[in-house]
Amino acid sequence: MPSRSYLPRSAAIIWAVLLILCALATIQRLRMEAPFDTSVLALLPDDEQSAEIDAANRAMSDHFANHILLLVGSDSASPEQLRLTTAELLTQLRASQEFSQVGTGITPSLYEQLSEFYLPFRYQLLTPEDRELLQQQRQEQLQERALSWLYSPASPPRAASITGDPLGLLQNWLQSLLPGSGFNSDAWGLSAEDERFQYRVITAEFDGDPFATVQQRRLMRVIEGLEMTLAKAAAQSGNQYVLLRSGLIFHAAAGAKQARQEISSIGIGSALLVIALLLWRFRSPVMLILPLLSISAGLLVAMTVALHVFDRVHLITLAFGASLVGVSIDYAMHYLCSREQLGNRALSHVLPGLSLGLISSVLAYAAQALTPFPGLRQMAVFSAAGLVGAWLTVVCWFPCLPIQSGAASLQLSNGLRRLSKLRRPLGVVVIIFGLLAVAGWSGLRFNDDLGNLQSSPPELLHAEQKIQALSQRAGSARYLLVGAESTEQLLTREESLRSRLDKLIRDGKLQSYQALSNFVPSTQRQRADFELIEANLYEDPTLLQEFFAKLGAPEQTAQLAVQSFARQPRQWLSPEDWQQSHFGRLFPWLWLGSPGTGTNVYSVISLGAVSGTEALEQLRELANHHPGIRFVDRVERTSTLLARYRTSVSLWLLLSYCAVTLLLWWRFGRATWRVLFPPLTATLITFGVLALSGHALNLFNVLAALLILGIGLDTGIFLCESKGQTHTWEAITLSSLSSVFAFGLLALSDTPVLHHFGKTVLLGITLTWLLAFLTAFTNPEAQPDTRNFQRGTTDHDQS
Amino acid sequence: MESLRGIFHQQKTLRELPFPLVSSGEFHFNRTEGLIWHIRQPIDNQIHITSSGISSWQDGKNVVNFSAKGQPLVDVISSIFFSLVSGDQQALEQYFNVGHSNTDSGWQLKLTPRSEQIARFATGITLRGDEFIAELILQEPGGDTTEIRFDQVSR
Repeated sequence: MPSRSYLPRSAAIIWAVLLILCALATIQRLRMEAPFDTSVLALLPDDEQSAEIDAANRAMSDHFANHILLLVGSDSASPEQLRLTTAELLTQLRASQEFSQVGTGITPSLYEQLSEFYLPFRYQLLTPEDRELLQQQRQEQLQERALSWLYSPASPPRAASITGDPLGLLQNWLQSLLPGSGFNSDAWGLSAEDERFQYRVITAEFDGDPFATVQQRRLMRVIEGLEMTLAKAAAQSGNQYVLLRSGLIFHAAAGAKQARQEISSIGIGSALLVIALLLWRFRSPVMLILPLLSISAGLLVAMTVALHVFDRVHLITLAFGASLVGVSIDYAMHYLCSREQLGNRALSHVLPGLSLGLISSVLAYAAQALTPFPGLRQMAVFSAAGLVGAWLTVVCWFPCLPIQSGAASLQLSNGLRRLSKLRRPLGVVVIIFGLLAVAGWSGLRFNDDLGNLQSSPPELLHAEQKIQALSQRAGSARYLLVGAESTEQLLTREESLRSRLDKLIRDGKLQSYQALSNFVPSTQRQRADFELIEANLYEDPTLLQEFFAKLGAPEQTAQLAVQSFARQPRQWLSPEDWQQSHFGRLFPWLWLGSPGTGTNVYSVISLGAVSGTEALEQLRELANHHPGIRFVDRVERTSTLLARYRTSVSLWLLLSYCAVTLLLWWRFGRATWRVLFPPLTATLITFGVLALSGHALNLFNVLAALLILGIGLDTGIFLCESKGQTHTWEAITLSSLSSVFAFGLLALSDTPVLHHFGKTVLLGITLTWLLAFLTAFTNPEAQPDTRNFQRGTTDHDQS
Repeated sequence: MESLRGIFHQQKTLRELPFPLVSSGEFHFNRTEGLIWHIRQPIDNQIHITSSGISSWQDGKNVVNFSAKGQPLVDVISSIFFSLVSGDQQALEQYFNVGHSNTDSGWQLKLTPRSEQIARFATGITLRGDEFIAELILQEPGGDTTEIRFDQVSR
């Protein structure tokens, strides 16, 4: 009937056009700018997104992203030998031209740059000790200090001339600024030592993105060159050398390397297994392309819709959303298997099952869209759109495609027939698993710690820890975010907070901190110090005259000093000035200004190592009792976020099961339990067995449960609709197997996230299939027994 | 050289002052205790230079303290000064290019810094001596010069 055959064809054409439009729209969107988020903060619910915390994290990450620190160590080389070796490595680094700055940690001109910058402000900067001396009128001590400084045969260079800063107040203030970090400094740079090793420091900065693969490879090659030089030096001198590395790029490179290895081993392995599976069953390369086609179309639609609905999509969403779209292989498999048996009647035969499968899966996944979490909402939209796209591809295109049912293999159906004879032993196996699971359920724990998801190699983590301990740097994991309505209020808040932090340091609870107000005192303080200095030294120059007389200087020298004071135009140091300075650029995260909308200004006090949970509590208390201060622990924040996501996904998973039950009841009535029993029980058994093996569950196990639900639903629905015919069983077996190959093999991955996901999928989908297989025998209509299989064979012979 | 003691006369010419700062006193160098530089004129002040820092004492009170740890130049300064006073040429060669020459009254060493870091402390040093060190002239990057004459030097 001509009119009826136009319908499928026009549907196919319309769908093709739509897909092309989607492709164009997506390409256009991707060309503009990569609309992908990678920051964990983008996963926070909207009302918790904080522009200032985001700005603080980003400022610190950006800075550390482009810096590396190396420690060249030896336990047997002499200090001179170590210096020479380090010098050789420095030359090599500079010669590679990959790094914009290479140094030993302290630039020689740092002190001069500091002096030059602060010189105009020398009449308003006082250390707390000097302030006290002036307030208590104990200026003789200042005099004595200045004199010993001047007469000493060896003293550090002066920041200002003797008429500019007679008593060395600026001098003293600058000394207090210089970070008394864990590293020692000597004529050749920074060094450190522990019980066994001596180390020398190399720092380097590079331009560009540490995650850009090409850049990464070039830089890592240079570092490997350094290792080779060290190995040569070790061989020549008989000393042992080590190179400890710290820097984001090393973690990024390790992660990229692992990803590459796994993509080639696990990824290609999975792909080959799936291809082998499909080839084995269909004996035709065309049959390979079609499922791929439907999934790709689904992904395309998913991406287009997600980008349209959300401005930016998170990469994690894409990863897990894509796995959920993988459920859509069911539709292709189901159609193709039945096409073999039923020819052109296939579509009308499977359409009810396919539609119900689609609706139930979309219902299950779309429930996540109701959570407040952006990541889950994006995943819901992405996967729902992807499933719809794949479904439309199967329904609109596949019927129009000339699919040869070639010499298809009967091995699968024969295999299933044989398996059905083994149903009792299989049943026993499942019961054993069930018992194990019950035993395991009592020990079910959850652990969302970010540390468990850490995937960098242990030697890299160890090196980082060592460097952190030796350098006593203020790290970027914990900090205090200070906010205020004005810059002045901000600085005074910091100043009052710092006295408490200083106490913590004296008590040994906190190792160090870095704050903006160290470098830029509040205007209030600058003003007070100025008045103090003016009153004591310059209004009445008697003290200065005494001082210069002691030096034996001519009488007018004091006058010169007073003139120098009068000539200096009064200006108050501000954070913006400081940010422009060389020193300011070394610590760009301390002053955030006004990120986001709003006029509040923010700064960061970065914290060094904290000596335990009690000290952490004290810091939290500190933040709570001071207005405008927030204590941020980045690792804890992320772990808490993961825990909240997990709770949310679990809750909505349960609700999905309920909603789907209602839908299926409408269609299947009491037989609904056959659809839901396999995935639900399989999930419970999987969690139980995992718990028994000592594994604490996290978000990624629960996301895998979503996938199990999706596949389980399709399995059950197709079986119920088709009453257990051979082609349905084949389709279900093929999709379960390909899901196991595609996602279950991730259990082999060393990346914790993928590993947990894969383990759950492997066990869960296998059990789902087994349970579906076994429970089918309780239904006389749906039994996949020899009778049905024989019928299938006969059908095939007839066609 | 294990220990050394003597008298010094120091003249420091600062760039911006039209007159030199003159001081004199005794010094005592000991490898374990470090260098004790006791100024008698025009102020009474003791300066201790050790490997861990430079400190200054007035009337028994600690007036100034520069610790070598964390302060960029203090370590440099103290080790260089040690080596200068004890005439340890080998140690000096780590920091400076040493030009040795003989004079009528003994030897002369002209030192030029080997790295930028050391040049922050001294742009050039001249040492003269016979059996022991007799004279030290230190030129600083700011244009200041320190001349020290050593007398009655003995072990």
